[in-house]
Amino acid sequence: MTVETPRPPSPRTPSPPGPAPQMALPLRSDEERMRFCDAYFSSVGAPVVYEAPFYREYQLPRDVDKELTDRPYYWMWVEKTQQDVPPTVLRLAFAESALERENERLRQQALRDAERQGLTDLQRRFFRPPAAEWINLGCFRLDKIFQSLDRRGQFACVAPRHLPPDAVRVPWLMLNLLVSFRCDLTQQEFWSLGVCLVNGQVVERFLPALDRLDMVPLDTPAKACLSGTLSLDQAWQRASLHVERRLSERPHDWADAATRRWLGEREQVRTYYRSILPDVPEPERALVAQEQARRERELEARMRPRIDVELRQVALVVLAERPASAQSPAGPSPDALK
Amino acid sequence: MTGPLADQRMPSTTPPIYWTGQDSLYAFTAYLETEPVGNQAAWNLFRLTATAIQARMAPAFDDLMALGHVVGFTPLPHQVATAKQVIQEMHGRAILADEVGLGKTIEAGLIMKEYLLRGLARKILVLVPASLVLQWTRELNEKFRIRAFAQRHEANWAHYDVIVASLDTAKREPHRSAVLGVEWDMVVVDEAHKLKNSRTKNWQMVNQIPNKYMLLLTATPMQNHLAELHTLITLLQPGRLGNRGQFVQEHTVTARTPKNPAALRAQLTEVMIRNRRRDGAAALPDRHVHVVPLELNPAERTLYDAVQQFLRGEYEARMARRGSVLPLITLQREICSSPYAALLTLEKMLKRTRSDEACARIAELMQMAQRIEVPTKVETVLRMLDEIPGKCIVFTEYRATQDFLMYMLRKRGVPAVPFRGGFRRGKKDWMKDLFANRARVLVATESGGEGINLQFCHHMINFDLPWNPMKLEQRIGRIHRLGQTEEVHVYNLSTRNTIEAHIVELLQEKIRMFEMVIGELDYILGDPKRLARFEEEILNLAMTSISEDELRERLHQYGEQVLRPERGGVTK
Repeated sequence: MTVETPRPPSPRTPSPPGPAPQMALPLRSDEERMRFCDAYFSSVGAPVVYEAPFYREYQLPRDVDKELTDRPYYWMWVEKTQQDVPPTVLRLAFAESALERENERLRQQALRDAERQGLTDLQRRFFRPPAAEWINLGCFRLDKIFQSLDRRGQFACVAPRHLPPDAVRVPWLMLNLLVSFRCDLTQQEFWSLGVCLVNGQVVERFLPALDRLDMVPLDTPAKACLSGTLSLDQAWQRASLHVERRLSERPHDWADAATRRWLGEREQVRTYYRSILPDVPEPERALVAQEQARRERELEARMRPRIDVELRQVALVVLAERPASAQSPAGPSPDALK
Repeated sequence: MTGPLADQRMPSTTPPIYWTGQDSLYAFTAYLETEPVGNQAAWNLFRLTATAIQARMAPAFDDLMALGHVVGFTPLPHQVATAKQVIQEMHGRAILADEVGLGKTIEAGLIMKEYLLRGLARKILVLVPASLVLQWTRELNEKFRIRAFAQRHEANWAHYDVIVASLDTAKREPHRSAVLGVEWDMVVVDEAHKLKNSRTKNWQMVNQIPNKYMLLLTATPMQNHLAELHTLITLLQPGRLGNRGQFVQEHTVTARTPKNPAALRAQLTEVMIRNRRRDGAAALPDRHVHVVPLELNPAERTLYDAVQQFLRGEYEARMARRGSVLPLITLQREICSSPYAALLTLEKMLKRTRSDEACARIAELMQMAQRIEVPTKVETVLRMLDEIPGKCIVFTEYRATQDFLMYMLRKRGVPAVPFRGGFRRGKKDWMKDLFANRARVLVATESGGEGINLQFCHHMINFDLPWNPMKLEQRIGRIHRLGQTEEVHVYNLSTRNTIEAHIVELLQEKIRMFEMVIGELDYILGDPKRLARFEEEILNLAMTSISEDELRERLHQYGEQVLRPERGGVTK
């Protein structure tokens, strides 16, 4: 069979000259996942109560507990009866070896504690020690953390810690988009755009450019720096025009191939139903026509190429305006970001 | 023009763009009201969220994200290749027709997971035989961490995203309307050979279920007619092989012979994948098959000969009046197993027989059977168990034999557990655990063999043989399957100068299932009707041959004949 495998649209992200580096996906290693979880739990105020190599125990505040443990009825009961329940402790192992090691430790420890209180034979036989969870890609807990983040990490409002006092402050709107190229398969890209609210300039890869900066909350309310600038709606318009232009500039062979496939199969379906129709008894024809319509609809839903652009995160970022001559790497200059 | 754009034939058109999530902008305005200066935690979480979004992205069309999300087992190369091919080349609609035991479930699981991860499927319907609903549900949850639910209630269809149910339930009202009312993203049908006839309720039901992606799983995509393939493919891609008339005209000479096998095969490879062991899919450790010959003692010999004589007489009589020979097949097979097994059938015959003469003969046979205390076969097995290291499965076709074996093993102090098809799932699992952890011997009846994996065991004794290569293969498949790490030993008991000896020979040598020809026999013997004919034919040969030599010769010819079917070309 001649395969029309959709090719990834190239270049990967707009702009940079030469082949775009294929970015490695985050959270693919044990180490990375552990740092990620540490950062998450510290940001939501869940202290580490025990620590070992590739292993942590986090004590959850109640609001985080509700988000990470799937037990709505428990919480209903706790709140209705106004119970004072001890906080949940999550025991997370980030490597398989750590999981085995800590499970053994937990078992020994729990058994010692239980023996001290005296165990009957039956209790000993059915003794179940607490166990650690292994955190890996696709596990329940990590998915829950992702869901929690989708709620908690949607918005932000920041400025660099060291803004020169005399610098002119320029507000930028950061829009993080998930772009999905989609036919019967998908390929996705993460686009972080910065729209300058003073002059409407759009800058790409905005979030990575901020990585070097130590960002802190604003020292004056955001409102103050938003007077006389573009409205958020206007900024959004600029950004979406930019996205549409960027998308139209690049080749979409994958979409051409998908369209050809889709139309080919649709023709096949039409030919098929045309050919069987003569043998279908009159009263059933309407049904067969319905079936054909359904097939064509499903075919289109599955195969017709489209691009979905989803706004996932919004942030206000106040940066210092840089004189054209300055070359210090203190902030994202529009040129450097291109 | 040079560079990456050089080979572009024409400028491509940008596909339509759909925007979502603009509401966030208004929510953000509200956020600025409540957090006028922002806060540190929010910024940290914002950056973590960006990482989390990218961690879940589908970075490229052509890789398999699902592989990064399975933990605790490694899919085999042919399973990964199959999943890729279905997704990238067949665009999510395919027949998975691997031979039994090569892991069609794993392939389907990988494909489902991939579409779930990429956000292309949310509502998935998995239709399987009722007996496999829980097993599928468990496997999807444990192996693939797909939150699948077993259907229990009419409201489940709309409520759960991934639901496993039986086709028989789904096609009954009120479920039928509920199922047809859901826009399923993906439909998976296991044992899809139940859909080979487009006039059946099964086929019509599946044909009406809304779906975008569809997988049909079957080890036997075709049994009797090439047109069955057409029926399956019409579910996937109507018109791919034309309408039925066109297909028959273009592709078939007779029901089972394709006109141009190469052309048909080429067409099929676009919608069907069939992995076979002989092609190197999932190489397993060797299996060694040993024949254990044994000699009947005088009392058993007398009984066997008497039963044989009785059978011949009955066979002639029944053929003359076109009566059913089924009880005779049963008796013939039972007498090869143990006298106890035969007793039950003899008793039934006794009740039904009206002629005094026959009654007297049957009663006499029964008395002879009762006089045998410990059959030679049982003694042989007990002796073998002393020598076999480790765990061992003993297979028999008959409850009576099973009970007697259990009794003898208990008397000897050999820890043994029984296993039957009639056990409920929980009990099956329990018996399996007992066998794995406590017992040394599992005494299983035929039906008990299905759907349970015992790879920790490496020895198997076939106390008696099913007259059916497929069933025998299923027995062996319990231990000789994916996950078996050691060589497997199979012992077939073969009683000299009985029909059993010939059956052993036929199954073992002529049909050569041990060289995995069975993959092709799927087509021939997967069908119950053909199977019944197979058993009847063997009885016929046994009853009408005058001498042992003649019987052997005729069985040999029959074996050759079975092996030389009008093959559907598609199997090559």
